[in-house]
Amino acid sequence: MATVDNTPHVNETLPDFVPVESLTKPRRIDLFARLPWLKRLVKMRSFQAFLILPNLAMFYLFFIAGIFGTPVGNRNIIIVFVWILWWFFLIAALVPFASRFWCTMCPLPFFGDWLQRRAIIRVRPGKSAGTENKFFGLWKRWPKALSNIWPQNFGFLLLATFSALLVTRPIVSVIVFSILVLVATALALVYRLRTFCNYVCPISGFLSLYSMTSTIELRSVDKDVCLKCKYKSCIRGSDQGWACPWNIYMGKLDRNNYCGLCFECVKSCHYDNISLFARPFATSDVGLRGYDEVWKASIMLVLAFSYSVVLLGPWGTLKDWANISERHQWGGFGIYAGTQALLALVIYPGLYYLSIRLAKWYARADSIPTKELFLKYAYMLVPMGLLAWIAFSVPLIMVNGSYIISVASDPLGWGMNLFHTAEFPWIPLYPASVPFIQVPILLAGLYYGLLGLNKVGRELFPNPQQRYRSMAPPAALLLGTTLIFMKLFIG
Amino acid sequence: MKWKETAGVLAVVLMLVGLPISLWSWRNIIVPHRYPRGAKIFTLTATAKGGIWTQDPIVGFNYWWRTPTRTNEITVNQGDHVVVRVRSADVLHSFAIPIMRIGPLDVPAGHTIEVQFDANRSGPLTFLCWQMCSPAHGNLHGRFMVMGNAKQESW
Amino acid sequence: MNNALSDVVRKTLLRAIYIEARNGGVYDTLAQLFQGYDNSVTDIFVEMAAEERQHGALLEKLYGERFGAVPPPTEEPREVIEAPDLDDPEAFIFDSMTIVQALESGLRAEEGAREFYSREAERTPDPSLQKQYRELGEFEEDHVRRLKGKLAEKRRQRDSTAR
Repeated sequence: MATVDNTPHVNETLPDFVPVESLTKPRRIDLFARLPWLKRLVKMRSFQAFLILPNLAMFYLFFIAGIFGTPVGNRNIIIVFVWILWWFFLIAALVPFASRFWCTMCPLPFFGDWLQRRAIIRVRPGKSAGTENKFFGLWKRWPKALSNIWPQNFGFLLLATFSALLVTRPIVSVIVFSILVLVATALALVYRLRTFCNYVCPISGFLSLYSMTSTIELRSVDKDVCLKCKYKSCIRGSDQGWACPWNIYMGKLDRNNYCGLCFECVKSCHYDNISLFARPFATSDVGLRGYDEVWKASIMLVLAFSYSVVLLGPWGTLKDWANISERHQWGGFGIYAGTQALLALVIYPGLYYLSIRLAKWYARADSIPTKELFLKYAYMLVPMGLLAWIAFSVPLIMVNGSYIISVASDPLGWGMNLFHTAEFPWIPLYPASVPFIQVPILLAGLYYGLLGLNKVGRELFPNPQQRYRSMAPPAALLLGTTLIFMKLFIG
Repeated sequence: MKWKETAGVLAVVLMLVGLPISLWSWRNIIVPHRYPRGAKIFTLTATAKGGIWTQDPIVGFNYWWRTPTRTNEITVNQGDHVVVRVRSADVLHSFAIPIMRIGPLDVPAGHTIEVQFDANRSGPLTFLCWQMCSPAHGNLHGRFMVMGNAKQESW
Repeated sequence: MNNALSDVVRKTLLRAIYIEARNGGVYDTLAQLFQGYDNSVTDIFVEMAAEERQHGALLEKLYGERFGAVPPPTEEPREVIEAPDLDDPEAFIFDSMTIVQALESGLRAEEGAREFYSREAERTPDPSLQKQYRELGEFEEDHVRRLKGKLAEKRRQRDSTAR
C-alpha cells in the first residue's frame, strides 16, 4: 500500500486549477458604482412592487387558466409558461446569472407581505420585536427544530415525485400554487418575516443552493463599516427600508444562499454600504454549512438524473410508472417513487460519505473531522447539479418551446388568437443537436465541481499532495456522476 | 408616498377584478359580435372517455371528476346561421357533418376549430368524429335538428 | 504637561468615550435583535451594554476631572476596535446563536480593545498618555476576565446538559 511519504512529488506533477491569488482576493465588480442608475432604481421604494405586480397579474391569469382554461396541458398557459418557459429561464438564466432575483419578483408571498406590512410600497417605522419597523401579525418565532431547510428538501422531493401530474395537469398546478400562497399568507400572519420563504417554499430550497454559483452577489461594500454600525438597519430595518425579510445580517454575509435580493438593505443602510457585485461563476461561495444543505444537493442531483431517465430516456415502463395520472399503475409508481427517494436520501449521500471516508484515509487527514470534510467538499455537487439541471432542461425548451408561441395567443385554450400565433405548429428546434449542447454543459458542471473541490481543498489542506489525495475519491464520484448523465443524454 | 401606496393598492384591486371581467367579456361579448347578427353559436367539446360530444365547458376544474352531459341533439331553426366552435378536451378528434359536406376537420387537443353553415334544409344533420380517436369513438356522434319554418311549411 | 500633549490626551479620552458609547449602542442593538429568539442571549447583550455605559461613565468622569464637560461627538468614531458583531450572518435564519457564541463575540471585542490599548501604551513615548492607555487597557482586561469566567461557566453548563 502506497503511503503519502513514498509517493514522489504528486504536487509537482498535477496542475493547479486556479492561480493562488485569485483564491485569496475576491474578484468582484461593484455594479452600483459602475451603474449609478441601477442603484437609483433599486433604491426606489416602488422597485419591488414594479416587478411583483406584473408577475402577480400573470400568476393570476395562470390561476384562471388552470381553473377555467382547457385541461390540455400544452394548450394551457399555466403549464407551458410555468413548466417550460419559467422553469428554463429560472434554472438556465436567473439562477446562474442573477442569483435569487426570482425571489425579488416572486408573487407567492405577496399577500402575506401585504398583510404583514400593511403596505405594498411604503415602509412603516415602529417597533416589532427585533426590528425598527411596525409589522402586523402574531410575530412569533419559528420553532428552532424547524429552522433548517429539511422541510424544503422533503417538500421538493414530494412535489418532484408527483411531477408527472404537476407539469401536465393545469388544475394540479393551480392546487399546488394555491396551497403555497395560502401557506405563505398564513405563516406571514403568525410568524416573523418571510418564514415561508426561509423554511417552507420548495422552490426557495433549490434556489438557495444554486444561487451559490451565481455571477452576482449583494454584499456590504466595507465590512468595517458594518462592524462599527450600531444601527444594524439591514437586519433591523429603518424608516427607509424594511428589516431584512430573510433575517440576514449583511455585515458578514459571505454567500448568496438566503439572500432574496429584495434590496431593502440597500434602502435602509445608514451608511449606503450595500452594493450589488458581479463576480465569477461558481467559484465565490463554496461552503455548505449543514447536513440539510448537503442532502438538498444530493436530492437535486438525483432528481435531475431521475427526470432525465423518465422524461428523456427510452424506457417506456418507467414512463408509465411515473405517469400515475394516466396509467394508474400504483405498484410501479411505488417502485419509482421509492427508488427515487432511496437514491436521493440514502444511496447517493451514502456514496458521497464513502468517498469522504476514503478521502480521509487516503490523505491521512486525521486532524480534520469527517463532518467538516463531508460538509465542505459537498460544494462540488452544487455546480454539477445546476448544470445537470440545465442540461436536462435544454431539450425541454428546444423540443417544446414552440408551444410558448401558440399559447401566448390563446392562453386558456378558448380559441383566442391575440397575436395571430394560436395555430403556430409544434416545431422541435434542432432536436438532433441537443446532445451536442448537453455534453459541454455537463462537462462545465464537472469542471466547476472540481474547481470548487480544489478551492475548499486549499483551505483545508495547505500541503498540495495531501489535498490532491483528499480530492481524489470525491472527484471520482463526481466524474462517475458526469459519465452516467452523459450516457443518459448521448445514449 | 401616500399616492404611490394608493396607486399600488388600486393596481392590485384593478387586476383582481379587471382580469376576470376582461376574460368574461371576451367570451360573452366580443366573440358573439364576430358573427352575423342572430347567428346561433354553439361550443361542442369532444371527450375520448365515454365518447361524448358535450356543450358543457370542459375545463381544468371539472374535467377530472365530472362526466359531462352528452349532447345528442341541438335544435336550430331553418334559415339560422349556425356557428359551431369545436374543441377537443383530450386527444386528436376530427369533426364532420357529412350531409352538409363539412369536414372532416382535425381537432387537436386543446384547439378550437370553427365551423359555420346556414341551416337551409330542415331535418337532422348528423355530426360525428371522423377518426378512430379512442375505444369509445363509436359514441361520438350527434345531430343538429333543423326545425322547418312553420310559415313556409303551412304554405 | 504641555498644551499639545494635553490636547492629545484629551482627544484620546474623547475617542475612548465615543467608542464606549457606540459599543453600548451596538450591544443594545444586538440585544433587541435577539428579542423573542433567545432571551438568555438578549440578557447577556443587555448586561454588556450596561457595562459599556458604566465604562463610558468612568471615562467621562476622568475627562471631567481633567478637561470639563464632554462635548457631543461631531462624527462617528472611525476605529474598528472593540466593536462586537454577529459572527454568523445567518444566525437568525437557523436560530443558531447561543449564549456561548454571544459571550464569545463579546469576548473577542474586549480582547481586541485590550490589545489595542496595550499596543498604544507601548508605542507612545509620552508617559502621561502611556498611563492613560494602560488604565484603559486595565478596564478592558477586567472586562475580559469577567467574560471569560462567565463563558467558562456557560460552557460547563452546556457540556453537562449535553451529556
